[in-house]
This record gives sequence, structure tokens and C-alpha cells, in this order.
Amino acid sequence: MNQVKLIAMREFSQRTSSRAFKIATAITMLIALGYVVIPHVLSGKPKPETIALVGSVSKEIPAIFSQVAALSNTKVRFVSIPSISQARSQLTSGRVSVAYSPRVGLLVKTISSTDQAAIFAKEVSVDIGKFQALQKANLTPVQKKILLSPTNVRVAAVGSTLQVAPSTQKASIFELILTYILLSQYGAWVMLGVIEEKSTRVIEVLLSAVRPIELLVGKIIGVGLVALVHASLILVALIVGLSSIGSSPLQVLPNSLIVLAPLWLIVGGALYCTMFGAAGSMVTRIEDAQAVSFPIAVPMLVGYIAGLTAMSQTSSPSTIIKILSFVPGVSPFLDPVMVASGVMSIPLMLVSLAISLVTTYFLSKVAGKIYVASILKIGARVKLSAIKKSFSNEYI
Amino acid sequence: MTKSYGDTVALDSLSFSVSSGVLFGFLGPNGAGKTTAMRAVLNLVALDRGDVLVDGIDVRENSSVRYGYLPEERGLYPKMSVFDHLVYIARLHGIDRKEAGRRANAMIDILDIQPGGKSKVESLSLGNQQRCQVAATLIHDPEILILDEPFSGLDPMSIDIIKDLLIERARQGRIVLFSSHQLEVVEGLCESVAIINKGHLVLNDTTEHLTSLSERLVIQVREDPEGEFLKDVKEFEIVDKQNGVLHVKKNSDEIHDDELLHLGLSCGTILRYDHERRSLAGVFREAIVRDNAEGDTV
Repeated sequence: MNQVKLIAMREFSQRTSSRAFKIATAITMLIALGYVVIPHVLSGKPKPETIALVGSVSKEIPAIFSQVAALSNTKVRFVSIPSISQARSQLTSGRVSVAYSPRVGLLVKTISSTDQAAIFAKEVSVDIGKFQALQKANLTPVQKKILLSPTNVRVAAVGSTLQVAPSTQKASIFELILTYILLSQYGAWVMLGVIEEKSTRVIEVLLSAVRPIELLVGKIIGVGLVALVHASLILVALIVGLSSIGSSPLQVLPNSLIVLAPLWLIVGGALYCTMFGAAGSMVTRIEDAQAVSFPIAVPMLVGYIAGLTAMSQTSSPSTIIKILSFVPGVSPFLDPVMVASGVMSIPLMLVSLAISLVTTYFLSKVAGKIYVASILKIGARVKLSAIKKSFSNEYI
Repeated sequence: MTKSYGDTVALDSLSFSVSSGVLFGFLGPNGAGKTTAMRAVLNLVALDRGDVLVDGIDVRENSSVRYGYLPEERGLYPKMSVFDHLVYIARLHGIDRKEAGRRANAMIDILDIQPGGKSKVESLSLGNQQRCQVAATLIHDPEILILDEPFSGLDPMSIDIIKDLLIERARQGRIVLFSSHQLEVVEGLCESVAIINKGHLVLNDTTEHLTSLSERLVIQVREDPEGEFLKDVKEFEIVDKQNGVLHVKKNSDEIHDDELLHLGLSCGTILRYDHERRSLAGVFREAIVRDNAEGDTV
């Protein structure tokens, strides 16, 4: 156990001090920050509309302007102007967006279907019209209040509908991309680390001191810890980004995602890193790595695409997506986003988790045997048939 | 030890013993099975048949034996510093951090690894990398040293340093087994040698015995470097000639060896006269050629 710890510590310190890790971490942190901040910056703060109230205006009129503005997330400020001519002059110069006079009505600089002030004025005109109609109707204040504050009629669908909050969808997509990047990057690191030890023959020196399986387990733990550090730093970048735009991660991120994303990252990491480690032991040259790692990359890709598909569906997920959510290797990508979206229950996810853990256990035993049978075979890629023959008699 | 990989027989009932306290040369042509045999000794290869015994105990049942193994190619982490690499290897062998650091510094000094412990392994010259590898092999003071081509790529001064270290360890009672194609180094260093070919043992004896005096004579006459004085003498035949040194084979048992000396003296000053000593390289070549021929006959 002490040797596994030593191997894990070496992997951790070597990887975290490498330039590749620093650059990759900095880039992904910037991406995380940008993912939160850039859309906020691009959408910009709504520019306050200056409303000119000409002459003596009923006290309800500014409230009507404010109500309509609130619906479109627009802020308004009011200025009083004594004459229409002054209002025209200020509309022309752009100091005022909309002017209202009980005598003339609403004035804008230009009437256009794309001009924000014109659209706003048109929306306000409807409510002012209603207000004036209510004034003429001689209603009691209570009646006026009821009519001015109608409640919306509920809209319901006859089929099942997936109602995912935009923030949940955004967070789930980010989690999906992050899981894919981390699992593929750190899986590849385990594989390349194994190939490096094999190609430099340092493996032969190490195996005179430790058992092969200890070496593989230590490497996976070490690289796994690096992945968790990387994920934590990305989370920090997200928190900083959200704080900078005045949001709290707990408000924006679904609670289930906060818990399940790291859990599935660990489960997926254990599964993929073990398989990548075994694949790496089958080759001696980096050039051969792609050939042996491709079959492992396929379920990752399936998981990633299935996750995106599940997020884009507006109704309950298709049968194929539901089946895939229980497939080990695919579930680390799919299950957290499905739970966050409310289309997978926690008990079902626990079943999927159990399937993944059991599969990982048995796959790690097979991967360990592949590693042991292949790691000292230098030269051409080790064939599976040769590994099968070695299973019974090689040193473990 | 018997081990096959598919149809290829790597070790064919190979058996030999190595005593502690002596330097043991493990020789053979490329592909003879040396590396497989070494890995079997290290318990890294499961034998089809046979055992490796240390003090009579099977290595598979005796995990307490400390091995030091130096593979033929550089078994180093290129991105680690020399010091960190040595400390890591020492700690894997169960040495605590403080002691591992002390030993790493000591090995760096003894082997004069340049430019120093802080340098990354990949930045070292090949010779210094090999010194680093030797340091990693010795740092935990192993009871059994297995070295595959330890002198590969080293200059004569580096070879001397490593030879001294190996002699010192052997004299401390360690088992030291190494392979090398530099047979002149092996001849000067090893007390005992095993030569293997196609996975089986061909020769196993002391170096002293293997390189004993041969029946050939060596003579050097200052005034006759080409050996003209033997031109018409049927009883002696020049079989080799190097820088005036004549290697002479006697064709008749009726003539005495000293007759060659008399013939030489009659032509000039004798610079050298002796019985030829067999070189380990010659013994090696003869043994392999003979074994291959026997194999072909069978």
C-alpha cells in the first residue's frame, strides 16, 4: 500500500508540475470563466429609456410605463418637459426615447418595426389606451385595480413535456463537455504514462521493486487526483465568474449536478483510466496508441452525444437514451444531466451506478491481467490472442 | 529454467549457479535468452519449468530478497531530476525519505553524475544517464545485482568507476551477475563466466580456466616483423600477425617449443616470446560456432 501511495504521489507531483497540465488547466479555467461571463457581457445591461412627460400627466401614467418596461427587462427614467416643441427637439437629438402628452399622445423619433423605442411606445400605448378607457368607465378604485392587474391563464400540454430551466440546461451542457474533456485527457495521460514507462524500460526497474498491479493502481490514483484538482480549479473559475456577474453557484447550478458530477467523474475515471492503462501496456510506441485506444474512445463519444441529445429533447427521453443511461462507460456522461433535468429518478440512477461499479470491478481485473501479460513485451503491439494465452501463467 | 514464447524456445533447460562474492559474467550472442533468463531470476517471467533458488529458497516464495536490476536500455524517467529519480527508486525499495536522500547524494558524488542531481535525466549525456542508472541499481544496497550491459555507451573512465563499484559490492558478499558484449571488460573483471546459446548453457567455468594457456606460441623479432625467418620452416606456421607479433602454430609434436626461440634469435633481438593466452572473445566465438555446428548436425 505504501508503494501504491509512492507511485500515486510521483504521478501527482510530476503531472501537476508539468507545463502541459498548467497550460491545459489555465485554458479550461478561462473557458469556464468565459462560459459564464461572456454571454452576460455580450447581452449587456439594458439601456434606460428616457421618457418625457409633457405638461400635466396623470400619476398612473409613469406606473404604466414602468410596468411595460419591466416586462422587457428595460429600465426607464422620467423627465418633465413643459412644451411639445421642446419634446420634439429632445426626441430629434436622442436625449429622450419616448414623449407623452395627454393632448398629443405618444411621440417617438421614428416609427419602425426594429426601433426599440417605437416598439416600446406601441406596447405602452395599448396599456395607456386601456387606462383611459377605464377612466371613462367611472369604475371604483377596487374595480380599476382588478382590471389593471390581470392574472395569466395557465398553459398546459396534453403530452409529457420536459421543462428544463435555461440555467440547468446551460450548466448540464458545461458539465457534459467538462466530463468528456477530463476523462479523455486523463485517460490518455494514464495510457501515455504506461507507454513511456514501457518504452524507456523504466518498467523493468520498477518491477524489480513493485508488483505490476500496484504500479497500475498507483498510476491511476495519481492521475485521478490530478483530474480532481483540475476539475476543482475549473469549479473555482466558475464560482468566480458567477460571482463577478452577481450570481451564486448554488442559485444557478442544480443541486443534483453539484453532487453527481464529481461522483460520476470519479466512477467514469476509474473505469476509463483502468482501460486506458491496459491499452497502453499493449504497445511500446506512442504511434500505436491510437489503434489500441480507439475502442475505448467509442463509448465516451456515445456518452457525450447521448448527453447532448438528452439535453436538446423537449419531451421525455427516447427509449434508446433511457437504455444508454444504464450502459457502463456511457452513464458517467448521461446520468448526471438526466437527473439534473428531472428525467431520471435517483433510485434508477443508483441502479445505473451499481452496474457501473460492478462492471468497473470486473473490467479492472481483466485490465490488470492485460497489463501484467503485456507490460514486459517490448516491440510490436501485443495481440489479444497472445494476452489470452499468457493469462494463466504470467507473473502477477 | 525452460521458457517458450509460442514456438520460440527462449530458455532450454538452462541451469547454472552463481556464488556470492564473485563477479559472474553472463554471456551469449544476441537472442540467446540472456534477458529472459535475467527476468526469470528477477521473478518477472513465469517459467514453463524450473526454479530460481536463492540460498535454496524459490524466489517466488521469498519476497524479502532485494534485487538491483539494470536493464539494457535506459530505465529512467526522462522528465525527473536525477536526485528525485534516485530517491523515488530507493523509496520503492522501502528506504525512508531522509535516508533515500542521503544515499542519492552519495551516489551522485561517487559516480560523479554531471552536471548534478538537480538536472533532468533527459538533459544528461548518454554516459551520465548510464551512471544514473547504475546509481538507481545500487542505491538500495541490493543482495542480488543483475546488470544487462552495464558498460554500454560508457567511456573508459566511467567503466573503471562502475567496475570498482561492482567489485566492491561483490567483495561485500553480494551476488553480481551481468551480461556484456564487451568481452575484454568481462575477461578483466569476472571470476566466473557462463556462455549461453539458443537458450541453453554452452560453457560455465572460471575465467582463469577458460582463458588458460593455449598451444600456440607468440614471438616478436625486432628485425623481422613479417616473420620471414619461418618461411621455409614446415614445423611452425604463422596463423596470425599483428604489429610484428607473430602467432605461431606448431605442426609437429617432435619439435620443441624452444626451437622457435632459437630460430628467432638467429634473426635478431627477441622482443616477446610466450605461450599464447586464449582470449575470452576467442573462447566465446569458438564455443558458439561449435554449438551452432552441433545444432545443425542434430
